[in-house]
Amino acid sequence: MIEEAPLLSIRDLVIEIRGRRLVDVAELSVGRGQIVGLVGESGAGKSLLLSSILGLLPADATVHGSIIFDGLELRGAPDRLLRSVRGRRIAVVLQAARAALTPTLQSGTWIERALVLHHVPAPERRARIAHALEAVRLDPALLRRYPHQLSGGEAQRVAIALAVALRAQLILADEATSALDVTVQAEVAELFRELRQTEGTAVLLVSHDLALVAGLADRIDIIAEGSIVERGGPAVLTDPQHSVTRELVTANPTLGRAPEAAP
Amino acid sequence: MRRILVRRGLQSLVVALGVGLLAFVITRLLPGDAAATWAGPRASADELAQVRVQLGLDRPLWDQAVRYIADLVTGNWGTSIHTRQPVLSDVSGRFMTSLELVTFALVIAALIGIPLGVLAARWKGRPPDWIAGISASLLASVPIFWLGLLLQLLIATELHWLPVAGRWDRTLNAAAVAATRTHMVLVDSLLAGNLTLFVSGFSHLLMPAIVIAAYPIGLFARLTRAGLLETLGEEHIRMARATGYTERAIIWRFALRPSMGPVLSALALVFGFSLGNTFLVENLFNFQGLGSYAVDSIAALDAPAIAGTTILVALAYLAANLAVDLIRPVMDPRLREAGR
Amino acid sequence: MSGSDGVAGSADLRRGSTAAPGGARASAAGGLGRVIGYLARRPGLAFGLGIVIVLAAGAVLAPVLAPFPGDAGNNTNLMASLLPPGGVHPLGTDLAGRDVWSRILFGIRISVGVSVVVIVSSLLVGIPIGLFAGAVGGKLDDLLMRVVDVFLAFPSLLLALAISATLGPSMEHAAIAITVSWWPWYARLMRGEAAAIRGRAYVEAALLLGIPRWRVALRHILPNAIGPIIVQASLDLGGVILTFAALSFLGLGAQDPTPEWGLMVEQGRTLTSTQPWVALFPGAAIMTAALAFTLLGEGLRERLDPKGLARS
Repeated sequence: MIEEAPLLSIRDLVIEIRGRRLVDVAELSVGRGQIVGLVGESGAGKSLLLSSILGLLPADATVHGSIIFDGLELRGAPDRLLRSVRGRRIAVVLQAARAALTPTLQSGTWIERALVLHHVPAPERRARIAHALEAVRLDPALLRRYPHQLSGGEAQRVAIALAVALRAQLILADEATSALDVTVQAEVAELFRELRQTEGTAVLLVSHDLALVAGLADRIDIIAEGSIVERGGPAVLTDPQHSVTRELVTANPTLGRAPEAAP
Repeated sequence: MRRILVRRGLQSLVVALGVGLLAFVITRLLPGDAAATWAGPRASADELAQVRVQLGLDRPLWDQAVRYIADLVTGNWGTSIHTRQPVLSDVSGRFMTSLELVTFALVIAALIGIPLGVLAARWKGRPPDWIAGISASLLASVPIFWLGLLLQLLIATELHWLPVAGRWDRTLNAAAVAATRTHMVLVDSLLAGNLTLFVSGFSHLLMPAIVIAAYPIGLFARLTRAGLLETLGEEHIRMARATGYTERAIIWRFALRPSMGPVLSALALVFGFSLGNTFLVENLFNFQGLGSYAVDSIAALDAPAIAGTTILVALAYLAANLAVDLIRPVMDPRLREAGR
Repeated sequence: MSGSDGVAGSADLRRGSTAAPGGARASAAGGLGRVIGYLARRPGLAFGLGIVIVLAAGAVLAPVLAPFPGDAGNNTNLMASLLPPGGVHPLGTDLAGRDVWSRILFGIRISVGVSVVVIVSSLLVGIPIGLFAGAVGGKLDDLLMRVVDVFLAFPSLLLALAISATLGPSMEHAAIAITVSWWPWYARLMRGEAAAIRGRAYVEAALLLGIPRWRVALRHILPNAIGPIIVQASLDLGGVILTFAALSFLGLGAQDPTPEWGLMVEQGRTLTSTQPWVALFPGAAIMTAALAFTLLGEGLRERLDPKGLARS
C-alpha cells in the first residue's frame, strides 16, 4: 500500500519559554481525513503544541523543529504565509465557544468577513455559507444572532461552519467540547465524524476527555510533560502500556472498561 | 433596552429637579436683597415693597421653591439683574458659544487621544507606550490657565501662527458677522456662506480648544490603552488571529469597538466638566461664552443668572450622560439586554 | 479567586481584619532592598514619590531654604522689582520685588497643604455617607445616591466659584467650596465598593452570626475599599492643587501677599511677553506638584486598585 504523505507532519518540535523546555515532540502527524486525539493532563503542553502550528505562541517563546503542512514549512514561516494558512487551510475551534466569536458582530457577519478576508468572491460566498450551514446542521436564522445570544453548541457550530465554508483541510480543536453539555459534546463529535466523510476534513483534537476521544479518534497520542509517551488506536486506552496512560485511564471512570492490570 | 432608557430618563429627571432646587437654594443664599438690587439704590420704601411682591419674595419659602421650579419648566428663568435680559435667552446664547468650543475641543481630544492609546497598547512596554504614558500624565497635570498663557505667548505673540484671542478677526465685515443665529461661529458662517469668517473662526477656536483638550487627550489615551489591552487578551481576539487577520485589522476592526465603553463614559464626564470650566479659557481668550457670563453674574451677585447658568450646565451634563447610555448599547450588543 | 476550602468563611472573615498577609520580613535591609527593586522597575511611581518627598521637605524646611523668607509675607522691595533670574534671585523677582524662588518654596505649604486639607475633609464627609449608603442598600441608598448625583451634576468649578463669591474671596472659603464639590466622588466610590462587598458570602455570614451592621461595615467593608480610595485621593490631590490654583488665579482664593502659586501666575499674567519668569515658574511649580501626585496615584493603582475603580 502506497502511503500518502501526511497532511500535517511535525518533527523534532521543541518549544521553550524563558529557558524552560515545555514541548519536546519527536514526531506527530495527521493524515488527510484522519482524526487524531491528543490527550494529556493540564500543563502537558497540548495547547502549546496546537498554538505553535499556526505560529500563535507568545512573543517570548522559541520554537525549533519542523512543522510541515501539505508541503509547506510553517515553523518560522513569514507572517504572510501563516496568515494565508490560518483559517483558510487550517481552522481553529476553541474551548470557549461563545467567547471565541466577536461580540460586536452577528455570527453571519463574522463568517462573511472571514470569507472576504480570504478572497472568496461575492457570488460564491453565499453558496459556501449555505452549504456549510447544512453540513453543520445550523439553522440559518441563527446567523443574525450575536454570540451572547447563542448557546454553547450553536456557537461551536458557527466556528466549525466557518472552517467548512473556508474549505479548511485541517481543524485544530483545542478542548472544543470541554465546555459543552454532555449531549452537545456527542453532537459535536458526531459532526467531526461526518465532516471527515463529506468534506474530508482532518481533525487534531486536544482534549482531556478520554471517553470522548476514545469514541472519535482514529489514533490517540498521549502527551505528558511535553512529550508523546504512547500512541495507538483506541485500544491504547483499553490496554495502556505506559504508566501515564494507565494513570489517566484509571482516573477516568467514564471509560467503562477497566484496564487489565488494575493497581 | 427601552426599560433601561425609561429608568435612566426618570432618574435624570429626578436629578434635574434636585439641581433646580439646589440652584434655588443658592439664589436665596446669595447676599444682598434681590428686591433692592432690582429696584435700584434710589427706590423708596413703597417701591421696594412693590418690587418685592412683584418678585414673589413675600411668599413662604416652600411656595417660592415650587414656583421657581414651575417657572423653570415653563421657560421663565427670570431676568438677569446685570443685563436686564431674560436669563433664558442670555444663557442659551452664551451656552451655544461654549458648546461649540467644548465640542471642538473634545473632537480634537478624541482624534488625538484614542490613536495615542492604540499606539500605546500596540507597542506595550516599548518606547511608544511609555512616551504616551508620560505625555498623558503631563497633560493631566498642567494648569489650564498656565498652558493658555504659554501657548498665547509662544504661538500667538512670538510665532504669529494663530491669533491671540477673540472669536474672529475684528476687521471682518461686521454685518456678515452680526448675522449670528446659533451663536456658533462655525455654524453661522457656513449658513451665511461666509468662508472667510469660517476660517477666521476656526483659527480662533484652535488654541482655546487645544488648551481644553489637553487633559482629555491624556484621559482618553489612558482609557483606550487599558480597554484595548484587556480586550486583546480575550478569546475572540485569539480566534481572529487564528482566522488569519493582520495585527492591524485585529486592533482597529475587532478590538477597538468593544473597548470604547469607558472612553464614552469619560467623554460624557469630561463634557460636563469642561462646560462648567470654560470660564478660565474664556477669560484668557476673550470668548463671550457661558463661563464669562457666569463670572460676571457672580461678580454682580446676579442670583437668577447664576442659577440659570448652573442649571443649564447641569442639564447639559445629564443629557450627555443619557446620550452615552444610549450609544453604549449600540456599540456593544452585549449591553442591549435588560438588566445591564 | 484562590481555591476555596472548608474554612473559606473564617479565612475570608480574617481578610477583613488588618492581618498582613506576608508577615514580618526577615531583616530590615532585605525589606529595603525589595522596596528599591520595586521602585526601580516603576520609574513613574519612583519619580512621583521622589517629588512628593522633596515637596514635603521643601514645605517643612522653607524658612531655612528660602534666601528671602520675608518675601513670602509682607515684605516688598520695589527697588528689586522685576529682576530677571540669576544671581541672588535664582528665579527672578516679581512686580513687588519679591524673590520668586522663596515665594514658591513657601507656597508649597499653601498650595499643597490646603489641598491636603481639602482632600481629607472630602474623605471625612464622603466615606461615611458612601459606606452607609452602600452597606444599608435599598431605598435609603437610592435616595442618598440621587443627592450625590445632584452634586455631581453641578459643575464643580462653578459651584466652587459661587460658594467662594457668596462667602467672600479667601483661601479658607475656597477650600470649603472645593470640598463641597469634591466629596460626592468619594461617596460614590465608597458606596460602589460597599454595595459590591455587601453581597459577599462572608459579610452575610458575619451578619448571621449576629455581628452588628456597623461593625461589619467598619471591619469588613471599609478595609477592602480603602485601596481604590487611596489611589483616588492621590490622583485627586493633583486635581485639587489645580483647582485651588485656578480659583486663586481668578482672585477668589488666596489673596495677596499669600504666596499661592495660582495667584502668582495671575500676578505675572500681563507681563508674560516681557518678564515671563513671573508667571512661568509658579505655573511650573503647580504642574510639578500635580504631576507628582498624579504619578503617585497611578503608580499605586497597580497595587491598591487593580480593578481600576478609581476613575482617571
